[in-house]
Amino acid sequence: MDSKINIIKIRDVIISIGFVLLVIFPAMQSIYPVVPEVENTENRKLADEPVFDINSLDPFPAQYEKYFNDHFSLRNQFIKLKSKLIINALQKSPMPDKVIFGKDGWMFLVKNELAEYRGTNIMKQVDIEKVVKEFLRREAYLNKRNTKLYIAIAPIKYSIYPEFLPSYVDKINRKTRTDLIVKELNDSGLNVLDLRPVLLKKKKNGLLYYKTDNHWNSLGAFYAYNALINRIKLDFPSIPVLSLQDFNIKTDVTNGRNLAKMLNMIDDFTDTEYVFEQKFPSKAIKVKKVGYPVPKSFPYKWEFETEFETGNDTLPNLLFIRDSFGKAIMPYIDQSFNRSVFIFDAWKYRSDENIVENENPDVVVYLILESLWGGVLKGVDMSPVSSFKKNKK
Amino acid sequence: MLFSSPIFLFYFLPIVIIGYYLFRGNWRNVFLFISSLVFFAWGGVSYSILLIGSIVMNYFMGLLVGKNPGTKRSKNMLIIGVSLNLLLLVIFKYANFIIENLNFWLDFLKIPPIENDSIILPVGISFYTFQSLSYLVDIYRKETPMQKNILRLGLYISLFPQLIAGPIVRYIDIAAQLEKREVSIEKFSYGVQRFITGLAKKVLLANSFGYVADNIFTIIPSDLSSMSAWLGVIAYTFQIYFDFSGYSDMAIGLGSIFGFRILENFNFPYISRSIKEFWRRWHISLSTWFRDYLYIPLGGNRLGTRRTYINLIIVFFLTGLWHGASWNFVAWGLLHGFFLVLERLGGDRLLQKLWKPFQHIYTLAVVVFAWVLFRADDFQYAWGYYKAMLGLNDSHSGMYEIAKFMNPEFLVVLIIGTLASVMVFKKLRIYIDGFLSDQHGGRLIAMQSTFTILMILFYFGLFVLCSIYLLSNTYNPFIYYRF
Repeated sequence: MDSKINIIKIRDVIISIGFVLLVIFPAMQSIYPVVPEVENTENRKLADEPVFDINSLDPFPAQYEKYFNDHFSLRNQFIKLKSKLIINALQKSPMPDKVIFGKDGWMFLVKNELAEYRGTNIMKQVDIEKVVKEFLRREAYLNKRNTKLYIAIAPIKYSIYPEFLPSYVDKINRKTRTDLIVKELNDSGLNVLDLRPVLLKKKKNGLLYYKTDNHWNSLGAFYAYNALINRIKLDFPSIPVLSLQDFNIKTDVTNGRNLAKMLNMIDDFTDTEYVFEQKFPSKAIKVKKVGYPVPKSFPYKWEFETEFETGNDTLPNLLFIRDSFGKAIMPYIDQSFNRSVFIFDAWKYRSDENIVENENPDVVVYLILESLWGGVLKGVDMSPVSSFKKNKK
Repeated sequence: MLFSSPIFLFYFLPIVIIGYYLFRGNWRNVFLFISSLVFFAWGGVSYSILLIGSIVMNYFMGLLVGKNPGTKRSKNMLIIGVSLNLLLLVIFKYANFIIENLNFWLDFLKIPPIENDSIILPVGISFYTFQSLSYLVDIYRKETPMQKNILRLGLYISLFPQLIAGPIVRYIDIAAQLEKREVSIEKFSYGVQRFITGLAKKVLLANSFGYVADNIFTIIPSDLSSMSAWLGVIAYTFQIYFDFSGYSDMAIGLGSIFGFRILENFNFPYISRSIKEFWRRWHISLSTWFRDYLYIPLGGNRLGTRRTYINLIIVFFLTGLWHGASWNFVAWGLLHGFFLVLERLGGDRLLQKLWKPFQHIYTLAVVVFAWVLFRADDFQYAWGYYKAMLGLNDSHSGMYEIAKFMNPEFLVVLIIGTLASVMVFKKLRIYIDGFLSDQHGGRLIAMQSTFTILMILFYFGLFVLCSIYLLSNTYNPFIYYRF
């Protein structure tokens, strides 16, 4: 019986001391790091240490706790550990509200895109009409200035690769919000290019989207460019068009991309990248920004405007209103124009008439990701915009 | 401050434990009292003035009631003390509710409504007010002498382990420990085990169930399929149990670390075979409080059957209201009261004749249906939810809603949660202890050591897992667009 008592005593000592060590370990770690640090990949600003103000005590604890949590010494390591644990033990996404795991290692973005695919985010008819009416107004305004308007719809990954979705992701409505809006836009006579059927047709030629990213890859972007430029060529027959034969295409293996990054796990996944090497040098050169006013809350301010010029003034000028899907199109499409101005206006797709009047484009393109109609609607409410002062180029 | 927050676990707790064991004698009470005030102030600095005010008020009322307990003067003092405590509770917890209801009738009578500047509910007020009431009443009943040391009374009312979510500790149960209590390695180790168990219940089980329940209880009822509705309420049934009993475990565990013995608050309520039994196992400290300080003073069951039923209904009306200032909670309490009266009316005899599984099904059905009232925001939502549960609406929600939640992680949690609710783990522990005590000699030592090592690894592993989950919850990435 004695040994039993001894063992229990030893157990109690170990549990007591061990617990105290466990709760003081993070504080020790922040002074003498034992566990190696891991990079934070949240892509947001971590909370600042609040200033202690005796006259405003009530908000202090909550602010301090935010700061404490964000700067906790083992935080990044723990987050990574949990993701690994869940992926390996349960074979599911560690953050199912942000990223869904599909078949064969395919990842899908939840935000906006899941609801778009399932058809659970139907837009009110009045709002659809509002969007159509605004684009008609924009078209009339541009036509008066001798400018052509094109609206291109970029597909979400769900629309092109539904076969890689987990089987439980079902469609609630057969017609999605994009189906309804595109139909109304088409019926009103606007120049709409729905890239969904285009890419669905081309996907037999190769991978068009990244496995660990919600974006199309350079091949998907090329096919989108190709469809778009051929549509524009109908109105501007002189513009040059690139074909796949103009490129040497190499395949590269990279780390996991943005969806893997959201999970803090880029090193744990790989992705395939097509590297496009043009056989002859592109004439389009990046030129100095004009300095159009950037929306205040836009997190990617440096992306707001990008300009290229080919120096060939027989070609028309382009104003391209885009979101992140437009980025991969830029290196192809800028070669068909004299001056190309790309505007990424915080997913609002506004009609900034000051930019139009300053740039005098011959072609205006809106490239809209099909899950972002909410942003379009907000932009409609804000148009026309900007207090930019005209400055003669 | 929440127990399940990094700042409590890795900042406050180590400082308090180490500080507490560095001090000796009465300084420990002083240190614990100050720590408790800091703990409370973390949830709202200005409301700690309310807590301190309540301590001072109850200290002096206690002296007045306790001067000649049992006399008319003492009774008058008791009435004043109880009224003052209830007044605080009414002002800070029920004022909005009362004004809202008054305005409803004023509007009906075409009288302009009363202005209502929403008062924010101070944390823990329902708990510490009830503790203070028990203190004053116990003195009046001569069950305990008054506390002449304001520090000890302050510590009783504000002791941080049970300050914000119970158990409601009766003064009589802890009075002696405020003056003298032993700390020991056994108590410390037991406290650590209880605390980690409670933390795991909260972080690993309740939060996982809560994720499902929260997601389903935000769906408009008309969009809710019958299966989703059931999944939602079952998840909530588990969530509230593991959340609340986990909190009690943590309180009891922390108490034990500091040498206190806090009474149990839960005793496997979901294995009950009647509503009467349920209330002996669910939030025990609250039901005994209502029994001792309301039901019995009202006459209990000594004034005839009709009065007994009225008393029960009053008790459950107030039990409901205690949980929150909304008619939903009242309805939840009254639903329980209704079935309790039904059982008293002879239902229990009928129930006992039934096959045991039916007794469980009956009890769980009442409890689960009642939780809908507890969780829903208003009656309209609850009604829609009931309709969804009974399949009376044609919903459009598809497979995704179910499949999203019914993943391996949730199934693991569901199985562990079910086993834990029906005492399987507790019985297993008892069985192992029994098995070990039957062994002798070298075999005993070998088995005992193996089991001990496994146990230590289990608790520490559990704690690390909880920390990982807690920290991950603070991870809030923004969508990363590639540039």
